[in-house]
Amino acid sequence: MRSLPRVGLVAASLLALGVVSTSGCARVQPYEREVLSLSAMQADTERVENRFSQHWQESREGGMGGYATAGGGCGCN
Amino acid sequence: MSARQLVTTLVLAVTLALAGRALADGEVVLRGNYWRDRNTRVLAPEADLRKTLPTGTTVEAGYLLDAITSASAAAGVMADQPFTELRHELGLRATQQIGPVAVGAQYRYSTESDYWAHTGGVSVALDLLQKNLTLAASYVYTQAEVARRASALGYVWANGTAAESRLRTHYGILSASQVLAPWALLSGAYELAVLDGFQANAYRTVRVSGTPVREVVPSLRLRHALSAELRLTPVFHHGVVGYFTTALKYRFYIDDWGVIANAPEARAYLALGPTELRLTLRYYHQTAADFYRSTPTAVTASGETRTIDLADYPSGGVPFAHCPPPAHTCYTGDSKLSSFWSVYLEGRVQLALRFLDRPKMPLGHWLGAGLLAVSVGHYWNTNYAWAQFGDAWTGGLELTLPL
Repeated sequence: MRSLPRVGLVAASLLALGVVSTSGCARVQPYEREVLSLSAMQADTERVENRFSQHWQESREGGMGGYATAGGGCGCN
Repeated sequence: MSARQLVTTLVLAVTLALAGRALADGEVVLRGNYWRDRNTRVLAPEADLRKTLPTGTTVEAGYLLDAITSASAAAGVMADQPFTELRHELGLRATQQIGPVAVGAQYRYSTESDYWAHTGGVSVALDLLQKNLTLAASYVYTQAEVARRASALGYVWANGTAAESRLRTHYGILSASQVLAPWALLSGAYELAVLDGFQANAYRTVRVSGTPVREVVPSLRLRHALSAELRLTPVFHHGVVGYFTTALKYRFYIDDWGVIANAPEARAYLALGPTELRLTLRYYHQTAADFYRSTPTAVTASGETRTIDLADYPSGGVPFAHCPPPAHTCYTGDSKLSSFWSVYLEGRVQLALRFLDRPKMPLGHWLGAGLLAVSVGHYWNTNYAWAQFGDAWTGGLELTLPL
């Protein structure tokens, strides 16, 4: 049986590695953020819709996550 | 005053209080959600208010009503009659910006006839490198009480006593978002959930040694999810195209029950004048839990016959960690713990309501700043998940207005 505490450590390390490796990317200035301010570039603008998506996915699938918010709170299993 | 009247009053009060702060920004989102599969129909209207005050405080309040009409035994149907259950959910959240740091707290309460849950959490986010990098962490705790309906008005605890019918969930999230270019954004998250307590469905049965019995699952579950998303806008203000954006997302999931799941997703946005078209395609695949057992069985549903891995334990329950005494074995009839794959395809059209901004239109200036979106999706299921739930249609109608 796989060691799951090790899984968590590996996953967190991958996330940290991604942060470190991408932090050297070009520094975008505030006046260059017109495209980044588009609603399509911000996952937060879909937060209300994502709540229902997360709700039906967790009610019909064995996985969880991917929305960076805690789901659950209903007897939907 | 009933609970629903209290909630409505609270939401209206927050709306009116925040609407007066003209210099801050915010929005109100009114959304109707729809889900329809073979046995279950869900209508879920919700309202969400968010307002950022000049002090750097962002407050958010939300209310959702889940009206679930189901003919599924797993939903608690006791006879051949579908029934409708209502779930109310109220959420409050506040975030305070302190320089580059944002600290937040949240509370959510959910109630239905056989399930009550309190959720509380805290979060912190840090902007670095002139907001090119954002790191965030949050912790959320949920305590749920699980019951089983015994009659039209009464219930009994799902696992004998209140203490044995409780589920505690600890949820931790680490996330990061990095600007790669003026038109590219990469984000990722690691999520860990520890579930401790009663996790079975109080109504679902499964055949064990030939006899249908209520399912029994382990009382402890460690769940990991690692996800990444890349958003790119390669086209911006080009001819009639306002912008073209793609979002490529991937989530890997694994838990100590043996379920491993992969979910790649692609989304495309195309802006043409006042409209935005969006297409979503998601593929999902999971393996079965280590204690899931099945027998290949031909099942006919929705006019179609398929051979599926139907949950079945001809040799009895499966010994597994954290299964209850005295046998310390588990058995489940939950297709969410079986092996299957699914595909989801959805289209959405969003319209900017600028045409309502007319001098003679009541509230025209306010409505004209709003957005109206309609979405329709279809979910294709396979194997035991198809047999238990069938394919599904989803729908959404959303109105966003400034606040």
